[in-house]
Amino acid sequence: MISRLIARRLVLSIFVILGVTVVVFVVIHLSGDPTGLMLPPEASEAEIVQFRHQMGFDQPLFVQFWKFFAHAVRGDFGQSLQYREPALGLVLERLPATIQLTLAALFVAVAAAIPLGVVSAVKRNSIVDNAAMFLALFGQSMPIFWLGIVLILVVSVRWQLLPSSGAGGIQYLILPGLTLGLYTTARITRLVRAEMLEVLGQDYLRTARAKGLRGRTVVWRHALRNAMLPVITMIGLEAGSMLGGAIITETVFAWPGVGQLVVGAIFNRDYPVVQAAVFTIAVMFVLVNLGVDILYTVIDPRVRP
Amino acid sequence: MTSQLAERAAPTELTAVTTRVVGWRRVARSLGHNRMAILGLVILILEVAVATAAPLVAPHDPLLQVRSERLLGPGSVGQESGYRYVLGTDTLGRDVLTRVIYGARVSLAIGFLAVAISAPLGVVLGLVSGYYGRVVDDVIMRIADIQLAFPFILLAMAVVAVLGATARNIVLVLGVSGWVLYARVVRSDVLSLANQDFVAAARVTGCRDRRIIFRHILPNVLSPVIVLATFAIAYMILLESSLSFLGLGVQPPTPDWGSMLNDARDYMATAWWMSVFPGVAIVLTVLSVNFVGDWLRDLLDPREQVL
Repeated sequence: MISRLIARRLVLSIFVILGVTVVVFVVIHLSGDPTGLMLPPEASEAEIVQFRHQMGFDQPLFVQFWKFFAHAVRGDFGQSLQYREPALGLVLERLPATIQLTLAALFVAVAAAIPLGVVSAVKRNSIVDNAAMFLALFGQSMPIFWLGIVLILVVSVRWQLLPSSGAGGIQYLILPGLTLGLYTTARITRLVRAEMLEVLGQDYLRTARAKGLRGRTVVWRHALRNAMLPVITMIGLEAGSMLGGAIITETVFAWPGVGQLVVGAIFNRDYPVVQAAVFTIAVMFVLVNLGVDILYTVIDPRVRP
Repeated sequence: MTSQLAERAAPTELTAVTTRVVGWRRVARSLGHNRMAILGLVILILEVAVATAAPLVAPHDPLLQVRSERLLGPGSVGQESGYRYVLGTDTLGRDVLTRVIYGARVSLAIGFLAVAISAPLGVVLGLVSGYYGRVVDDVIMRIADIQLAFPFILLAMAVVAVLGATARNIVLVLGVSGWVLYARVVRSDVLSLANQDFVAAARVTGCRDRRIIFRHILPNVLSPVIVLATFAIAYMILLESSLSFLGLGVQPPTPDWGSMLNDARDYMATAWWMSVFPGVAIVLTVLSVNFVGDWLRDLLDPREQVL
């Protein structure tokens, strides 16, 4: 029974990945012949013709797509125009750094948001609650890059506490992790609070209290457990959308991940790398969402078909 | 990708024939109770007014460069020109306050326009998808799934890079790719409404499909759409400034909050005002929109989760 739902999601995921391949191919051709995109404006007529033939842009679209697809399936996205190395290889090389950043941000978000949300719910309308909710709204209204800039301004420039760019030891990970994680922290805090509020009013908790269990036990053992399900789902979903935020964060902090690679590739007109990176990020997104869906069926028995 | 969490509950209140979403008196009363929303609305109205009247209100010319008066701090007076720079000058000697004011034009315009395009597009697609079902529904939802596989900013970056970074292209890209959110919500509501009695009654009376959709179903699905659209404006403003920050948005020398912050990066140690004020403008704007959105959600859609 479980496997039927998972099988369906798996098929859907494969279909989506196929669609992603199509989109990645189409994007390059949106303005017509990509040769103009990839060559510098001073290129001679002969160079243009040669390049077009070399990349296969002079062939009909269907043929081009088929070739692209056949190569993509084998992980071949062509050579980076800039580095003369396989495009996908460059992307995969930088992927661990992005994953590291995303995990750090998720850790920060969960570690901060769950206690904050629980306390806000338990002490509703207190100073803590109001402050937390305002900060949460504030955190969701701030552009990621500005948060990064402000953190650098205060922590790196003013207080000279942490480095403002690059990677190395854990001190390089703190500021980018905080920056990327704030938005998710805000969202999860609000969700935990809302879920806890709903759960705390339920009858079975009144029973637990009547049984004589201490408030603390009631809150942490019973209430939180039941409030966690949508929270876990949201954590999974946020992990996916963090991939987008990571692009900006990496740019601000010069973090050597896929995001920084993509931005650089776009500016250097290195479209094979752009294609490889967009494809990889999208596939990761799909896989994370698939994982969340599967996790959901495992955790909540009511959801199975 | 669809996840169960993204599906929404069925509406409980129906207005079969009227197109009124909620009465004005209730709106006024609800607003009166919500101080943050009033503050948000006031700020937004002021911003729109200032942005529209920018040539009259701004102290200087946003493009005027006074090379000898570069990187002056807030409140300084230019030696050569005698100008007072309330928020300082940037690396090319341009007044920061003026550029922040003019930057509001870009952000607000793109934010509103992008939503003005994506909301109707998404609503129509959601209506069609939910009402006609089966093949049409499948096709539209699969396209949505594929589009959702890309982080929004990544897709926007790639398309803008290929098409060229102009305000027009940005609005188009944001507008066209923003439809999914509305479509999903509307479709979900339509699915639960389409089987109701009043729809069957309308069909029996001989109403054609289009009339049923627009006259009977649409008014009932509008409430969550209005809430979504409001939050979407905030999101679009953030997205636009992010694109500009990366250099893929509105191009210099047009004043834009995002690109101003990008310029500020090299001068963080020497000219903190370049990094602070445009960001404050963004936060203030987005926060105000979010306050209004929260209020609208409480007013129109109380069963929505607090997210």
